[in-house]
Amino acid sequence: MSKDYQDKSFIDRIAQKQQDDRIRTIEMEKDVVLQVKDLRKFFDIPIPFETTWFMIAFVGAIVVFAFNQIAGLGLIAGIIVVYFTLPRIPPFNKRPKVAHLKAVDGIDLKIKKGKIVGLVGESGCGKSTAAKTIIRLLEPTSGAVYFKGIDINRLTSEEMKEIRRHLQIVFQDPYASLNPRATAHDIIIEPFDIHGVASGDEASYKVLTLLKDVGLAPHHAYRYPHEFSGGQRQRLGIARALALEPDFIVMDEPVSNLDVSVRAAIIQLILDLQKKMGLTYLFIAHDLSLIKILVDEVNVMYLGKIMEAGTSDEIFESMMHPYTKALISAVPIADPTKRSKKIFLTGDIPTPINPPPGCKFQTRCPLVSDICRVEDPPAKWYTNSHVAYCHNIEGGEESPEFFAK
Amino acid sequence: MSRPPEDVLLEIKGLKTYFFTEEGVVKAIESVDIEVYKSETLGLVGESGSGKSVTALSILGIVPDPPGKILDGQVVFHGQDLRHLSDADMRKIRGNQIAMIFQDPMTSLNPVFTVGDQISEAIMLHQKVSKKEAKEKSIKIMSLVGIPSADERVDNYPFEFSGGMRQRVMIAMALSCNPELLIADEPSTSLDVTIQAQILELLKATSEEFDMSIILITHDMGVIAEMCDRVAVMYAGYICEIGDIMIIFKSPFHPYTRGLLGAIPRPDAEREDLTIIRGAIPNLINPPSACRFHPRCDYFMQGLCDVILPSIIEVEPGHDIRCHIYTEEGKAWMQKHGQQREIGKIPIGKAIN
Repeated sequence: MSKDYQDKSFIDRIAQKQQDDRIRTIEMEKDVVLQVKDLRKFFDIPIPFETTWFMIAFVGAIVVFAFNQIAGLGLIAGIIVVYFTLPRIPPFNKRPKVAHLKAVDGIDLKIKKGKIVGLVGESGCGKSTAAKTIIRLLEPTSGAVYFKGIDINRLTSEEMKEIRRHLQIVFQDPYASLNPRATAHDIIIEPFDIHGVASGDEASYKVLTLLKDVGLAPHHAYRYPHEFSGGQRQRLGIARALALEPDFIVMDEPVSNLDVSVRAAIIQLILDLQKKMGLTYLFIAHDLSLIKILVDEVNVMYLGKIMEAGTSDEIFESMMHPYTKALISAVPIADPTKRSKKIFLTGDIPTPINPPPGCKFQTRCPLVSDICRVEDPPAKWYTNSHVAYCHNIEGGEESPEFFAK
Repeated sequence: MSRPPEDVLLEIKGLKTYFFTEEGVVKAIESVDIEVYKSETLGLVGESGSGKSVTALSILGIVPDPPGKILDGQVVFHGQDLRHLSDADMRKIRGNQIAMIFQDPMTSLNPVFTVGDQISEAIMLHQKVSKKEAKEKSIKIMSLVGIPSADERVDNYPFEFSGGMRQRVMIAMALSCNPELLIADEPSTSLDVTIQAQILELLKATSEEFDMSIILITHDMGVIAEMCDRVAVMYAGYICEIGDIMIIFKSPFHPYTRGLLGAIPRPDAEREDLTIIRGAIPNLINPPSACRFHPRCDYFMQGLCDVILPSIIEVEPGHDIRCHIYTEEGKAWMQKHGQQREIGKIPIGKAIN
């Protein structure tokens, strides 16, 4: 089965269902592989009902019980009844039962074919959640992800299976994401089985080709994950992601756990494969020196929102946002002659649970003013690809169309 | 740039530490020679498993025993060999004159005591002060390392601090007795870049203020470049190159140092410039013979590197290298085989072959 044929049948089938309200489609620009619109992912964290008073009352009831058994029993029963009914009686039922952890709070991305798009930020900024939500490993709270013009979040699991083969992911920790009881061969052949692409000798032959592509030897096929070194395991993870010839791969910190010398080799492999197969990557990392040399476009994320986006040159040479400036200046440069004056951010990253209104960066921002605590920052466009979200930076246009003329 | 011998604060000579495990003897440190000068920051860099942390533990004599054992070598601090001190005398030096901070502050802080208690403990152990004075001193040192409202935070438990703040508490504890030498084992590795910058700046500022030497252990060449005066590159239990930071980063002489520097994205590098050190760090139960880097080396000399361990050569004052390219045996080999193994001053980042 050729790849074109599969794509065509898939698009056709979706097109037939166009009348169906469920399917949402848009007209996509020609070279855009994936478009993300206002994607949000909140996690609900239950807030337990206040138990302190209940406990005090309960201990009191036990003391009463010790002196007068009947009255004590009645009291204990009463407290239990109150504890379970109180949260349902006004005004106590107004109390929120869950807190929202806004891991991803409205991000937009346009990923063009053959490009490496970077998503950077500190730990806890939501970059991994964003990646998983984009390929629908997590269900988004709201927003849309368009692949080939179709919003994948509205598809049924049956339809989604067809899409999955085009959207793959490589995880940070290959040891945690490879089945320890399966050999390399079994791990790579599994996608073929699931999607019915190949079987028997043909599948085995494909496995060997894939192993070769990622720099492993044929005799590695019957080894288990624990028998590989960290770098080899990551190669195996990449081979699995490549098995179904995807269009788009999310690289979720693929080299963060590796030693420097191994890291360079994996980066080389990722780049070689991209050139050879015309792949498109969303590359997630916190190492900015790596992002700088690797990616074409950079999105800087902070607490679930994108602070600044642009091409690699725009972000690293003429960044506008105060957070980007601080982040880039904080990166240690491997050249002792270039020790630079750093911008220090005070404080730590606040928790993303029930964040304050306005700009997410307000608690650490050197430029903070009153408006930042009230209003969401506006987009300021500096070129048709470079945008920063901040109240207090100079210049910028309201929309990218300004530069189109 | 070498400094007079009276400036040496700590001298490690021929240190050898093995771990006797059930699988076999792990030859973690074979021979390490380092000098640490007064009020300098020395970087100790290498891949994981190269023996950086074991070197630090060996200096303080806190290698877990069993399975670890320091078999040979001297650790000379202020003219006395720390290895021959009694446990009681060693305890007076540890935490007082030589302090250490670890990579993961959560595992090295006691979760059931307040941070104030833990900092005071170190102070009271080494100085004759009352509990109250120790607490006052703790508050002072906590505000010095940049913990806001230290007088309230002193009664908090470690879990109430964020990662960066915990590392500040560790630094406060280490600084509480004005040590002359601070060993920082990956102090910023588990932190975010913006927090890392804060912690490194704090270390730099306090080392100047207290006139303290630092041994900074890290695998991040960027951190080394930002922080250190000199750098020692370690591989599989040996120091392969040691020298001034400017020289090492500009024109490293050892093939491994070149590999390390080529493997990281340098500020002006392009995608294609990343070079690879082939293979992986060896298993130290059964390490390669002689020069342990020879199976991965681009300059391997058959019949020499795998047979004779290169001795330490001082190529310029204060710049020592352990590699056959610079030894007499190596020069003889090159002449005999008519092959040149020259790496002098080619810029790194470009492919070597």
